[in-house]
Amino acid sequence: MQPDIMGWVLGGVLGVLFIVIETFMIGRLLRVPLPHRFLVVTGGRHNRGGKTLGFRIARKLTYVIPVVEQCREIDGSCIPCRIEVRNAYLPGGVRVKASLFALVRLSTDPALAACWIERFLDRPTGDIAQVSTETMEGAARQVLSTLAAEEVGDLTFLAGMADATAESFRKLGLELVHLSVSSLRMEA
Amino acid sequence: MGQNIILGLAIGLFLGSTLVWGLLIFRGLVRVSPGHFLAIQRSNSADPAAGPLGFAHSGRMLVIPLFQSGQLYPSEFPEIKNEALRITHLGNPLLDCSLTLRVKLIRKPEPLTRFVQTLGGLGIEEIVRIVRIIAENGTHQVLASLPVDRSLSAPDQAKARLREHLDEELGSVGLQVGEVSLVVRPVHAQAHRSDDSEFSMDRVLEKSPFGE
Repeated sequence: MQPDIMGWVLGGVLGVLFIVIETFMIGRLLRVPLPHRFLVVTGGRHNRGGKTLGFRIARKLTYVIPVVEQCREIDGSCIPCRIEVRNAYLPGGVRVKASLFALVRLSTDPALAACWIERFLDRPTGDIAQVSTETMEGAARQVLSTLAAEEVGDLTFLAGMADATAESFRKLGLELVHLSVSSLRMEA
Repeated sequence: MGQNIILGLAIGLFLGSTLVWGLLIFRGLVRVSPGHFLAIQRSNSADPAAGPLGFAHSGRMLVIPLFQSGQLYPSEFPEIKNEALRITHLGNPLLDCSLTLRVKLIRKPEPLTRFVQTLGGLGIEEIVRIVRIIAENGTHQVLASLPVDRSLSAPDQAKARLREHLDEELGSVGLQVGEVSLVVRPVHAQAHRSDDSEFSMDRVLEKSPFGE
């Protein structure tokens, strides 16, 4: 009688153990990000539009090959940036002070994502905000240096900023979601 | 003995899977509380136009464990109020105004997805702070682009332009203007100090004597 019970118990324990390990393994192999996040799976080779990339970006359920691939969950939310530009000069030597507000986020377009993956993967959000802020500050100085005093206004400034930042942001792999002027004033 | 192990294994597999999936499903049941909506990341969507996200605005939903993920996001936002907003052009004060704004979500899959993907990771305080800055900058931009006389004589027209502008700006983060109130007043010369920025999102000016 004793060996019979031992057999049942042993089988039962093995069965439960198998299910627990199996569920754990499925949980490790299948990854699904939270709705506002996305996965960056590095390692392996992935073909995208004729180009071989060393990563892939997934916004939904994806399979991660153990050992070969590494998976990171990245928050895709906007990063608010406040840009203060002091002592910018118009062509006539007029000093201008500008304050801008921008919302920036990481691009999920694979063609652009490689740029931010190289620069910002595993870096804190503050670093992205700092690089974005400094890029926009440079662009603002560049735009203001080309505007005549009578042309300076929110709309002309914003239009110039959109052009001046587009290429830099593309190279950084970032997207400018919103940009607005908080203040723009000429200083004595 | 061998037969008993196999039978035990079968029962263990049944019990184990029932227990594990029971626990996972219990954990996957999410109640959508008032003032929130649930976004679910699905692998396959019945509606291709809706994208990979599914949404629920009330009741209970099952987020299938291991294959889906879900998160609650705020769907109601507190009123944004700025009683003393100074509008200037290149340092010259043009107008004082009061702005009251209530924003809301657009309950369609595409704007909801945009909201989740742009502001989803931020807390409600941070979202409100961002909306406030966008609204105040937008008010500044709209009123500074209109002749002062026109803003004062036809405030409804200014308000309509402001609503249109804010709908466009907030639309990029999946929000829209619910209610907006704009009171425009002539600027009170004494209230302007030389160190005031022409438009400051941090500074609340003293209430204008021209107020209602």
